[in-house]
This record gives sequence, structure tokens and C-alpha cells, in this order.
Amino acid sequence: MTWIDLPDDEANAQLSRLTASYRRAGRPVPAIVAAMKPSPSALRAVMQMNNAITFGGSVLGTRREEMIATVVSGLNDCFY
Amino acid sequence: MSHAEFLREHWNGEQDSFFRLMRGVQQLGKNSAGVIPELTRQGALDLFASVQGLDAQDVAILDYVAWLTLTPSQMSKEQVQRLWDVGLGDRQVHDVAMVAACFAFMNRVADGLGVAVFQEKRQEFAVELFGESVWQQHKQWA
Repeated sequence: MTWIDLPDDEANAQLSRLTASYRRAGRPVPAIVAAMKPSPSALRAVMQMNNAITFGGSVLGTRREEMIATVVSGLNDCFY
Repeated sequence: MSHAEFLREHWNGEQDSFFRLMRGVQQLGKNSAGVIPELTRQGALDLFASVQGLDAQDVAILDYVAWLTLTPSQMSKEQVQRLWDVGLGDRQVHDVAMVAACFAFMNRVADGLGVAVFQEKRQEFAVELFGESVWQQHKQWA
């Protein structure tokens, strides 16, 4: 999933807490989230940033957020 | 679901215009080596303005986002003025910049670590959106 090796979802207590919602939902941790597992504190902070700015966190509405996301990623030639 | 898949599902206009937007955006990115020529700058505005399903605020937002992504050091107050001119307030301008920056950050993480996002079942959509060569490159990461 990434070029670097990643710890297991439950490798330590902090990672286990951060990935618990995905296990409860019965789906794997998204690849972009999993990529940040080597630093659980950074992963937690980035997840909080994403929730504050996107996923309906802005005043723009989800459609415009996704429109911006798609165009930024397209311009960066990035699948994500 | 990817961002593009979400956007396609919630697209107001014809699906053809959505794919035209995405192909146009790809082309803008490819033309962006070095300084963006003025012609390309106008081309971006023309592209966004021609896409069915985008209102005047959407067009202004995408124009701002495109140049923030491609030529961040050349941003100016005049570009914010274009957002004010279509009725956006300071909070909305702030959020446009934050959302664009947030996804640029996530793009760098994905590209820097080789994050494989698309699954095989999404191949057809991905190829239509980004082209066969980019899909093949992505598959090599997985």
C-alpha cells in the first residue's frame, strides 16, 4: 500500500484507538490514513485538521469541498 | 469513494461536462512547467466558465484554487478580489484557501510515500478521468 513499512493497526494503544472506528465499521483503514501510522500523534493531528477543514467542516458545503479537492488533486496529477 | 467519484455523483450538469472539466484540469497541470503563460491563465478561466453545472462562484473558486496550486508564489490580493466580486465573504475566502491547502498537503503525503488509493474495480473510472498512462503508473505503486 506504501513504499515504507507500516505498523499494524493495533501495534500500540494510540494507533488502536485511532483506527477503532474503521474496525467497528468493518472496513479497512483508508490507505492515505494508514500511511501516517508511523507517527500516531501526527496521524491524530492530521485527522483533526481534515475534519475541521473538510468533510463538511468548512462553510463551503461538501460539494464545493470535493470540487476543490478534485481540481487540486487533478492539477497535482495525484490519484488521491 | 474517491473525491472525484463523490463529485461526479453530485454533479449538477451533464456527466460529459464533468469529464471535460477533469480532462481540462489535467491539461492545465501538464502545461504548467515553469511560469504559466497568460494564454493558459485565460484558458483556465474559459475552461471553468464553459463547464455546465458550475455557477459564477464555483468558477471564481476554481480559478483561485488552480493558480494557488500551480503558481502559489504569484498569488495577489486581486485574486481574492475576484472572490469578493462574486459575493464570497472573508470566511468563505479563508475556507477556500484552507481546503485547497489541505488537499495539497494530502497529495504530497500520497505522492511522497507511494500511497495506492484506487482498487482494480475503479480502473475504468480512473482511466477515464486520468488516462491509461497515469493509471499504469499508479498500479506499479500498489
